[in-house]
Amino acid sequence: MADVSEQELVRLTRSGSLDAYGDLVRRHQNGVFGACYRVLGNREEAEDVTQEAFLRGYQRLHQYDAERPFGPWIRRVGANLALNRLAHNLAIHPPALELEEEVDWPEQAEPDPVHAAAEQLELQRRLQQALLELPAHYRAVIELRHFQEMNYQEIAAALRIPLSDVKSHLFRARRALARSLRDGP
Amino acid sequence: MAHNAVDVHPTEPELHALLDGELDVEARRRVERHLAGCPACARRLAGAQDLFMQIASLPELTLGRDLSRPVLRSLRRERRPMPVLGLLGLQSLAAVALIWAVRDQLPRLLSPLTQIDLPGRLIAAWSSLIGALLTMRLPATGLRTDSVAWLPRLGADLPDFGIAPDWILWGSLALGAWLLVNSLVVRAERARRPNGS
Repeated sequence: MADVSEQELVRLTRSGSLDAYGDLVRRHQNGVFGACYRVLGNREEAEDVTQEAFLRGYQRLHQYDAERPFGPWIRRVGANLALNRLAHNLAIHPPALELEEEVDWPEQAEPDPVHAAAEQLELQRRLQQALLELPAHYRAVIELRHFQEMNYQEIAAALRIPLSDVKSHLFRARRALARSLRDGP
Repeated sequence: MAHNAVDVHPTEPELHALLDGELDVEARRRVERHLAGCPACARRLAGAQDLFMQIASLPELTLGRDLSRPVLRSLRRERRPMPVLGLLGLQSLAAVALIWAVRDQLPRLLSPLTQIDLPGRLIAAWSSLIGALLTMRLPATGLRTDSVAWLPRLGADLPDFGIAPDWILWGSLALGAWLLVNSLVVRAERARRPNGS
């Protein structure tokens, strides 16, 4: 079903075709897994929640608006489940970081065409690693803001924390990520 | 000397809020005016922008295995009609067993129904059920609902089915439980269908 549109796959699933849903799972499993992994920081748990997200998605398919892309919807289902799992797993502790500290952003150097691609890959690897090593509540706000594209109010509602905490968590998380880019491994 | 608000360097969280589109109109104008005349803050903003872009450009994490197999296996297991059909089958068997158990009593139990005015008697029978329920003694509160004068009259003109009131009470409770269980089963069945029907 490689050439079948997403909307058609959803329609076929709604009319009872499990194979069509299998195709949707294959198309979006990495996106959902990424959201779950970034929130949970644990590969096995993320796989488990990803599977649960697709089961939940199937049961709630009647709530999905077929005019919109399927990917963001199912990723949101996964992220919500991962957040629930996180809340169940962890008692969240505030980090011992100073809010007042300013960030020294790295100077923008002229790109060297020979090394630029390798350097970019290395930056991404470091950033990915730093993201997964953030405290759980920082990972959660980064996931919801940057990957689920929620606004501050929506994040506060999803995590049941005050708006001021959303702002400070986001700032501190970004500062830690910026530091990982600046300082390296 | 008083500082103009535009001269105040925006904080890092303010710059982030600007990039997130979360500053109100007045704050956004103030920060943007400041940025236009402050290269240092403009560089801080560019640094934050670069980080945002790096986060956005992170490659997708890969799962490394096909998850559709276990998902579809679970869905196929869930879609088996066993729960509903099994429950209906069990209920049918229970009904047959019940009728079989009281087969000798059936003529006596059904004899009132052979009399005339069947609808009236059915209504009276249901009245007796309601009356039996409402005249229950409620042990927790000590309340007797038969203190309400009109309640006993509900069951006053009953046909004689030869069934003890206790049995009527337990029968009506069993009927209620049966209806409740079936409604929950139907609800659960609807919930696991993708079209919600």
